[in-house]
Amino acid sequence: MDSVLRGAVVYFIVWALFRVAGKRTLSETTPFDFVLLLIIAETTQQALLGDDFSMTNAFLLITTLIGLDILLSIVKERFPHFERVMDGQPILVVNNGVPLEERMKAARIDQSDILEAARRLQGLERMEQIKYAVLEPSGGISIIPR
Amino acid sequence: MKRVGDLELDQSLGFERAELRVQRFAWKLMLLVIAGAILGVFGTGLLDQAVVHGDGIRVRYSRFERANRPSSLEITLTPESVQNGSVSVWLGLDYVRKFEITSITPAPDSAASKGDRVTWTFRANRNAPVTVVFHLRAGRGTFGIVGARMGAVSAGEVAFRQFIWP
Repeated sequence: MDSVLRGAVVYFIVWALFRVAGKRTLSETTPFDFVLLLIIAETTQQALLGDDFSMTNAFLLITTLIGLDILLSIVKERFPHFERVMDGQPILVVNNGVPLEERMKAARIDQSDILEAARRLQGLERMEQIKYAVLEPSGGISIIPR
Repeated sequence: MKRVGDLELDQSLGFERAELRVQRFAWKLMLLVIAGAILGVFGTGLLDQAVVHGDGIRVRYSRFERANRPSSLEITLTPESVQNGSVSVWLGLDYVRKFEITSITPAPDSAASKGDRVTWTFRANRNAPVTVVFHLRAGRGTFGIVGARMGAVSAGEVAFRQFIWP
């Protein structure tokens, strides 16, 4: 029972921390983000395993974490409001070539992030070529050209 | 490459359906494992804790242990088992070979191995039950059913079995 409890508690703590950190956190992994992820994984491992280094404990923890992920994906599919709470929602950040500065500032993105996504995804050159840009729940930016 | 309309796509709906069936079955298995773990089938839970009684002795143990995880064995003796200010508790040698005894509470006055038993002697008084806790860790390679025998020199003995998960 302790393995399942530890797995569930760590799952929800990590989810809550990343949720409050915002969409752009770790959306694109820089070398520092990668190191940060490794440190988080190493720190979490201590809380997950405690002093139980058995194979059974590892198996139960992995099963609990994946099981919770499957369970939440089923719940999210059935209850869209729950999905919004868990994953966040898409936000329009450029409307007909006009950047919506207030939303962009709140989401910690600037025009260069949107232009980078426009170049990478659609080969666009200028802001006015963008019809809509959407900040997705995953933290990525989708571009719809005019 | 197969074609789906104008699209070159290596798609097999039959394989997809079979994969989904296997997935759903695996999800049910995972649910069973998690439910079993909550109940204590893998140690720590309702089904895990057990007590065995003998003549003047009671032992609290775990039905399910895990290799390389700390656990404990609690032995309680009636006041009548105290003789000349001490009690002696013994464990079967086979059991001691499979478990590393990390500490004993209270600390024993002496320990001795004779025949197929290891015996520890503790100071005690006749006014109250005597409780001895062995803190154990099952050896890394231990797996399956392990039989245990233990007792007190001035009381009876008990036997029980534990299942050790790897």
